[in-house]
Amino acid sequence: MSVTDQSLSPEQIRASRNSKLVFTEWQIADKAFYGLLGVVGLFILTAAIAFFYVEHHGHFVTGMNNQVVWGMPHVFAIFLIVAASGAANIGSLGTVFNKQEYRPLGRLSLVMAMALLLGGLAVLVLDLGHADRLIIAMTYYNFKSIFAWNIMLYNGFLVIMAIYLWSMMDRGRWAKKLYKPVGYVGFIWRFILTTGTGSIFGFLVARQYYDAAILAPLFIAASYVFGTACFILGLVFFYKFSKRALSQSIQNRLRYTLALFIALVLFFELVRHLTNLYATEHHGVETYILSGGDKITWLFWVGQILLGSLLPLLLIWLPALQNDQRAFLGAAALAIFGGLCQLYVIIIGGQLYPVVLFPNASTESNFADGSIATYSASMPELALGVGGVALSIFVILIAAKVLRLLPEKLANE
Amino acid sequence: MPVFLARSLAAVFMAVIMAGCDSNPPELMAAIKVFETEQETKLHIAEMRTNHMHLLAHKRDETMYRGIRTAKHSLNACIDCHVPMPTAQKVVRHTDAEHFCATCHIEVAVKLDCFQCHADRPALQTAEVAK
Amino acid sequence: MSNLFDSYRRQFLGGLGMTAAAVTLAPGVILREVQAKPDDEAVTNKVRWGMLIDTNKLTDGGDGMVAACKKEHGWGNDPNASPAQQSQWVRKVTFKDKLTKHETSLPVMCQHCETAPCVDVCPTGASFKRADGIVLVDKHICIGCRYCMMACPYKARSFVHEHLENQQPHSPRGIGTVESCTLCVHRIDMGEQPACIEAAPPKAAVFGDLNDPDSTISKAMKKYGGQQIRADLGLNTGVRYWGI
Repeated sequence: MSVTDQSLSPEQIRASRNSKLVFTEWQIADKAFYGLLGVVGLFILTAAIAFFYVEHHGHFVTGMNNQVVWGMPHVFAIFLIVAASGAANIGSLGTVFNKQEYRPLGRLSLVMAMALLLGGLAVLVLDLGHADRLIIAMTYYNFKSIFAWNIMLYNGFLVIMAIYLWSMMDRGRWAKKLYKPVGYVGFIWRFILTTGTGSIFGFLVARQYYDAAILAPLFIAASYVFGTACFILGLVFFYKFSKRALSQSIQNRLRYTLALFIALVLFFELVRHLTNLYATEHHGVETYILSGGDKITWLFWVGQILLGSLLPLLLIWLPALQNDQRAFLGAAALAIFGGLCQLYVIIIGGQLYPVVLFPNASTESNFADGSIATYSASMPELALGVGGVALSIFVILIAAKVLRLLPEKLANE
Repeated sequence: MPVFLARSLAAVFMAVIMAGCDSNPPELMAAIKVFETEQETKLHIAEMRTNHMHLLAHKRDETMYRGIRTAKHSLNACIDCHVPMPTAQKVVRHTDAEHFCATCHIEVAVKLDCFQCHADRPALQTAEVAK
Repeated sequence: MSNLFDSYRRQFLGGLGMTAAAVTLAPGVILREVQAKPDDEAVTNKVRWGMLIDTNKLTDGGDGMVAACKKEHGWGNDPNASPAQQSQWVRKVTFKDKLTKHETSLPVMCQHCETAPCVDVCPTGASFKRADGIVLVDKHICIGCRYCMMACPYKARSFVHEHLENQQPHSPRGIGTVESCTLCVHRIDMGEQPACIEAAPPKAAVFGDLNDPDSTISKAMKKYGGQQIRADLGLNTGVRYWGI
């Protein structure tokens, strides 16, 4: 397939013709493939058991309660959903920003985006008190609810990404015509989707740690970090596994994209915390998160900031590790770990801190007023969350096997 | 319109799957209230057999959103009349096959989730008054 | 100086007492005030139900009201739920001012906001406000996402964590759905007062129509005001307090 877009310079067209991009299915021995599926499937099976266990008994078997109403499943679900939007970024870079080097990666990017979103939605839906009433969530809409909007944004995302993927893969006239417009729609849709997800928390006046518009851009920046990191791991995995050549230049591009957005997330976090620290009414919650001393503080400083942000930046920008693939992969894995820590701090930490009923008083009751609540995830919750990740991986593996997602080798070798 | 469509579809669907079934409903436990005429009893049974779900769903929204609490088609009123008062010896639960709702619903294998929230027997006070 | 202050204080408290006396010493008047609408008539927005609680007269800090609510609706003793998982339709909160050290106890339940955050965020519309201002959960279409619990500034909502049996016929509550104070809507529709009001210490709590300028509650609030918890949020709550 040769690229004949008119907006390209003659050099670019020549370059892409010379490279002769050939997309093929993932060549892998059946044994290895089904073995992999089996391992991933085990995690999905565990999640299914966890779901039926909670569904059968009720949520009392989980660590969630009436103070911490969203728990570990939501950390995983929101991570996956946010990462989905970021994973599609590689596709947007090729389509919207005309970065030729990224174009061959667009297909994998979109498939990963859809798979991650599916995994996240599955977790979210299976944790509902009434997962059996999914049809109600699809038929009754309260249009003032950002949650209801998100249901539409997520479904729309899947549809748009599917059309976008088709426009990349089909050689027909219509697909070629639609490629650019759908790429733009997808790009804008992603922004709205992540804004919507951030606004789930941004629109909450009740809890001290939320209720801030900056959560929307923070989630957008974070989506690039999570998505790029997931994409890096997936890309390198497929190329290693099928012994294809992965050029150093594409790795470096991804490496710097990751670093840039890690820095941006750090910047938004800094602004968010400084704003909170300036306002007296938020001193309590900031003190708790930043120096409260329990696991939230550790997760924030060690998990999110040190291991999840600073160390990856170091691994990326240290001159000695310039072309070191292990450092590159390490940075991506740490960024994912940091992202999970970040969401845990936001989602769980924000709920552990008590709701402030009387700002100038010390408060107490038999129901966690004025004191820090406790939460520890139960096994079923963890299994469900990990199962969401497994489901995403499962879908990606199958898609790579049956669809022509991966170029034989990447351009500009 | 969608409701009408859904109902027609459901009716067609039911007709298809019920085509081979006999229409002899199982024996139900007797109600407390007795109608004055045989005619009324027959009408009540016929109407309820085909429409009780729609009537209950309609009434449920009327009560929930508009605060209309007449006894007619109210789930509590059905229960008060059709399910025996709990006694020290015996409480008939919705999980028992003899429970008025359960008898049919087990027969046709339609799951009920009304009783996840709603009481499946008359109020205890009602029972005490009746004693 | 201190005498002068004292006399002001006495006057003020006396005034409170008198209003409260007018409110509660004539139960007949109150019962007629909360009129039973005909069963087949829909509720309208001509009425807005509300409650006024005088924390100074709550000798038990609200314990009696909490107990009455538990009895009326049957929450709080779900067999499997941990203490933090038990429902809390209403709870007694004690707060102590950081400077003055003045301590106050009060019952906190759904405040029946005019612009309720729980109603705004509910994806299916299960969380809704009835025409007469009562905020309720339609458990028939509640999917159990708990977003309303995240959104409620009063932490007034609970999630049912297990299968329940022996619910009260007038107060359905069940697994996987969110619940909260209904303002005893089943009693209001019959022309009775909420259970907690009847259980409150003498003169401590009134219930009535906030839209009716001649109702006891409106007159009392017009004279002495009615404070809201978290008034800064501008939710215009239907439950008001004295002495917070």
